[in-house]
Amino acid sequence: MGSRVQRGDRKIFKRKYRIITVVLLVAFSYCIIWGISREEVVIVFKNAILVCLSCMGLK
Amino acid sequence: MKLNILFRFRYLIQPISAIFFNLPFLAPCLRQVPVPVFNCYACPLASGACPIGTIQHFFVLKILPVYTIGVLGFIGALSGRFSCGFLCPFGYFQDWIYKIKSKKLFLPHKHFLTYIKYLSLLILVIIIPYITGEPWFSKLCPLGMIQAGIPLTIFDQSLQSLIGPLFYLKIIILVAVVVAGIVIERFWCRVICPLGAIFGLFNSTSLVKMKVNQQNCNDCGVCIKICPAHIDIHKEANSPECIRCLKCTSTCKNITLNLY
Repeated sequence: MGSRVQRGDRKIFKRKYRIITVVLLVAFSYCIIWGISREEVVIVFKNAILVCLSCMGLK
Repeated sequence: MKLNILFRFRYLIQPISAIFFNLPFLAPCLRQVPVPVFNCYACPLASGACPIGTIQHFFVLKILPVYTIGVLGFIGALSGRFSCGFLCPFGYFQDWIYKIKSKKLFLPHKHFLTYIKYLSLLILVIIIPYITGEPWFSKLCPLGMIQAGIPLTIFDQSLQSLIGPLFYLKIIILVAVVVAGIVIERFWCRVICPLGAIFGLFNSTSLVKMKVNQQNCNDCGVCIKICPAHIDIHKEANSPECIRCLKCTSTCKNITLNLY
């Protein structure tokens, strides 16, 4: 009886974590689309092609 | 679905990934994307955008980096710290330097030092750049010296005139990190890396997860010894410290990396 309860708990636990994973994936996909619509990609690109003097310890 | 087979190809995946993230002809496409590894974009070879540098830059501009959070969160929700163990070029570098014969130090799992990475994320990557308008993590980052600072100042004489106290401070930090990496396995990943801190938060909820067959485990402790983070995998298989290198799966059949 005890083991059956444990198995049930494990199933609920597993399902709960599956739901969290799906919610996270959907939420972060939305963030990507939102960020693209705000033209953040352009800022990322411009920043990434600049010579980063801070990274080189020169500024 | 078990993914343990990936460990067999780790010795191939790591160098291929290190090369892939440093192919300059990919830069026009990939520099728009914060890559899921620690790789300096000041390096002329870098193909992608450094995620930590990108986050800092947005906080310097006082803009919430929604796109970068989305990319890193999505990858974290898919695989947790898998990229630390398999894809990160700096992680690969640390795996090599740890092979240098020397006295090795044991840094236990959940040692107070391992919490520094959360502070470095919060303070050096978010709060200080937001307040001061300067990317302070980049100013102190040792990887920038390996990939850009040292090679570029050697070959470009115009940059040599800019060398000042910060340059020497970064060299001292680099030497300290390398020495620490020789005596403590994956020192940077475990103690300082803010990207590891981000991905670690997803280890327990990611689509890809570590699993232990508790019924067959006899608590021999071999997995703790072989784990670079010395995690008691039997008790905490999806600890935020786990870099998912899958070394434990090679020694114990009870441990698997599972896709839901």
